[in-house]
Amino acid sequence: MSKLFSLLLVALLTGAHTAGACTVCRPKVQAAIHNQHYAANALLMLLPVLLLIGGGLLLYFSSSFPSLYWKPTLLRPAAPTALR
Amino acid sequence: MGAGMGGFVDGILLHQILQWHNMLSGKMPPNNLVDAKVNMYWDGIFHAAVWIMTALGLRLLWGAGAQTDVPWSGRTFFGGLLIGWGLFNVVEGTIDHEILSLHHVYEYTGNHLPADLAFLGFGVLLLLSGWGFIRAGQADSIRLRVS
Repeated sequence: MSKLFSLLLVALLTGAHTAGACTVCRPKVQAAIHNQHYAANALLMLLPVLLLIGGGLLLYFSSSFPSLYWKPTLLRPAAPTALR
Repeated sequence: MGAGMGGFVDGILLHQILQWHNMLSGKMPPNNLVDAKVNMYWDGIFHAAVWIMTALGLRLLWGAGAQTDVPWSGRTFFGGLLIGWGLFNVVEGTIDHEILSLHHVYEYTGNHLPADLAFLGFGVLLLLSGWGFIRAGQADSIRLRVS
């Protein structure tokens, strides 16, 4: 039964139209992407991501990073009187 | 990592599934196949960039996990993710939508401001929620370290 199903599937796929890229419009698309504005477009588009990556790295390697969200003094062992 | 994942929410949900906007749709509306494919290219560049940002976040998380002065708390982690997502919305929303007008959140209307402001407002809400989770995560750290 499974062999019959596989053969049927192959037969259907063989008869199907192949997926084709847009051969007609490709040169126009390439010309519209890789034009004199390419570098400016790329820079503007990636600006928010670059800022976020830069800010994240700056924060991560900053020595004061842990103190922004965590106070080490809270983690000191309780005083002996508090344990009694 | 949170900023990267927020970028994927924008790219996958708003660019591809809902198709509210594309990266350059403010300057080059996808009204024909060529313009749609050009926008598709720049969407791909954007996705590649946020993929790198996410991978970098994973690397930083790996490094942070080995540090003794970093609390290993689920709430802190979730709060960090929310803050990252909120930062993405605020930074990208301000620069791309309001300053550069590369695109707007919902292009199919004459008045772009309401959707743009909602995007920014959602970002601020994420920032506040994330901060709340991080504050709550301090208690997790205390319990873990003392016990």
